[in-house]
Amino acid sequence: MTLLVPREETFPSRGRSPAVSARVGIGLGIAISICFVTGLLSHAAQDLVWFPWPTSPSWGYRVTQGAHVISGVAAIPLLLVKLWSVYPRLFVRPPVKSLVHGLERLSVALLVSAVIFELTIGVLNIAKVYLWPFDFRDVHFAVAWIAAGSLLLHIAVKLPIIRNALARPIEADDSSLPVSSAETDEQPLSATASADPSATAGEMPADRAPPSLETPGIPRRTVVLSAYVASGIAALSVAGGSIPWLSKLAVLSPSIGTGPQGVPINRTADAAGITDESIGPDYQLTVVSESTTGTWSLDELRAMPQRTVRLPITCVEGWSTNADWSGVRVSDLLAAVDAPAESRLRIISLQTQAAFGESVLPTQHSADPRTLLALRLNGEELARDHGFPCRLIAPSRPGVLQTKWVSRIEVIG
Amino acid sequence: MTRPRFGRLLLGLGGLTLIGIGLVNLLAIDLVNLLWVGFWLAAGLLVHDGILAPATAAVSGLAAAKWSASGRRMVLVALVSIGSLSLIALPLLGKPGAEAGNPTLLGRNYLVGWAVACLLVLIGAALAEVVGRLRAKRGSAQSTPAR
Repeated sequence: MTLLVPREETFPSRGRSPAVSARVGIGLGIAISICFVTGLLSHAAQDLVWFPWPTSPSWGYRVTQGAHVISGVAAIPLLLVKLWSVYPRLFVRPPVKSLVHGLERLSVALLVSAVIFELTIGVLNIAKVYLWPFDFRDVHFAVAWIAAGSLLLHIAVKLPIIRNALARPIEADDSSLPVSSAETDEQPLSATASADPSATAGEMPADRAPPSLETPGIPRRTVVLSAYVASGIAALSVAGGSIPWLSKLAVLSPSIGTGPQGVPINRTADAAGITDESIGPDYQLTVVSESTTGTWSLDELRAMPQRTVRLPITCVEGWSTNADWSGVRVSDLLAAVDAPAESRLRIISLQTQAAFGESVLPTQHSADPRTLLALRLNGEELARDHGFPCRLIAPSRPGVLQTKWVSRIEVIG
Repeated sequence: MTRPRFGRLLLGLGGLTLIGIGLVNLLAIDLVNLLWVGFWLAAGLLVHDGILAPATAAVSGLAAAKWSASGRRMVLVALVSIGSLSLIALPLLGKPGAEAGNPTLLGRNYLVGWAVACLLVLIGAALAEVVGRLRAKRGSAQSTPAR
């Protein structure tokens, strides 16, 4: 019966201790912080027109978004071990001792559900599995604030326990530790806790040893080590998506690291609804400024001064690849329609299906001499799936905004 | 005591502010989608607390019964790594998100990749265990006083 309705004592492992929670919690806190900040930066780069997202270094977004995905994946083992270490607290009796205690438990539930939610839908998103009807970006963004906020709240509430746990040797007896920040007069976490790491349930006095799902013999140091080792391995399993020289180790990266002309494809021409006719001989690029409208055929674009830049393309799902892009400077096109280089632009694609059929290019990107309307990739004419006849490529810009199959550019500010 | 308490208060208020920003952003979502978000928030918590955590406790109990105390350490490290890798690999196996005509994404053999990674973890754990035992043996031999 005890197993059916567990109590804290059902889980007597010495690893389930504030000593472990605090030490694993540090790594988890760092991983979540990196994930949160880089997530905000990604939103700023994509959605905040007023935010002066810098064009240099050109690998800026590559680093922030790579860090976002890697830190999120690295957080998973840390979260699992952290939750394992505090799991007995779920069965504390009585479940609610006071209003403050109830609120504290509610905030923990919010934290746990928000962090599990963020990591789960994040991992599903990079695998392109969408088991929900809501917009991933909007919800991932909103719940990220809740996860980060409830983490701060949790740290504020638990700070005395965290300090206490970190100040003591990791294997020290828990019986003198307070278990709840709100009250220091509670029962110790485990009345059966022992200072001897090799102690087992069998060594407890028979009248005190509760029926248990586990034996308590593994040192806490090993539990903490397991969390960090697993975190490193998890990170390594996806890191190669963003760090090319680790690509062979990235067994769980969604990107294979290469593709036609050496660059992976996120959305194919077919998936975007591109027809042969729309990119055929009659293709024309139109650039519209306040005073002038200019049109260019593909041959006319080829006849303009061509520039070559080496820039990474970085998908919001974390993968990125460096490539040599050749084409016409966007600032040259603007000059041709009497628009200043520092113009805010709407870049419109020929695509008729799927999201991101157009994007807004901020002024600092328009004016940057490395921002091209690329016609060639790694020495070859742009492949159809890479955006033939021409695509935008700008330094440090989210991949979804590097609009492909560009047909029209409008000066909007 | 005042300064630490003030710091905690600030941290707590900062946390509440961020939660507030999140809620305002969530409330901009329409009701049906909001219900889905609520479902997923609750489901994650329930799956962890109701299935994953008890299953882990049961597995660790079994592992503890099977393995010696020293061997158990490396088993733990291996199991945490393999468990985490398996969770991350789950949505990739079978590639439900793959798009026809685009082998550049989700184009790896994730089942093999996952299996090899797990195997390497097991080999690493076994090696670490062997090295640990050899070191312990050597250490105890050296600490035996010479006659």
